[in-house]
Amino acid sequence: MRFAFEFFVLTLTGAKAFSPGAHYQGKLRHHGQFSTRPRRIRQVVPMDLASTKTSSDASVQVPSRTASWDSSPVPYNDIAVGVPKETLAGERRVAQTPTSVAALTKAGFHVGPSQKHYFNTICSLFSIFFL
Amino acid sequence: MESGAGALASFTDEAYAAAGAKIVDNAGEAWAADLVLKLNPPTVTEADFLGPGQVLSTRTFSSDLGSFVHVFLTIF
Repeated sequence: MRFAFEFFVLTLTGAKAFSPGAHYQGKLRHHGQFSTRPRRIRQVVPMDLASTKTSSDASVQVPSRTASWDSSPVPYNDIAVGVPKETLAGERRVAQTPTSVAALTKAGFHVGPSQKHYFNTICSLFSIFFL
Repeated sequence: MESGAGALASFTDEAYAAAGAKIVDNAGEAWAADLVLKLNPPTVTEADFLGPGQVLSTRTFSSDLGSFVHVFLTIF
């Protein structure tokens, strides 16, 4: 059960972390006939995994993978919120009301296209010019 | 805010503009935001508007499971 759990955790956090010698961390590896001296096994364990790996109880928190987002906070002023029209047939609702839009803009959100969109549009126009 | 998005819910574009929203005409500009708020899952054509770094907030499941899987395969 423990092996299955560790395999599950290790495969979640990347296949590179899984190695047959994973259970011998901190011990000395049996040195073969060609190695001159015993060496300590160097094991690459992700930082978030290293804290959870030692606890073997069931209430262990499996670290979640946050793909490419950094954890640095983004101010509301930098976030553009887009509300497209619903295209599903028979749908009469909408995601935001004028009241909720007012709440968003009061909090600092920009409701509309982002500045990056305009930047990309201008850049693509210039790139056509230089081609 | 796409033009006419709240028309069927009897919210006019003028009310949204008064609330501080910028009204755009085409769907491509409405989808060009960091955070896209929507009700229904995106269709395949709508999924093409999404780029890296954008966050889409919708319901997860549609009644049409086939198109749902198709959209997921398009995004990822």
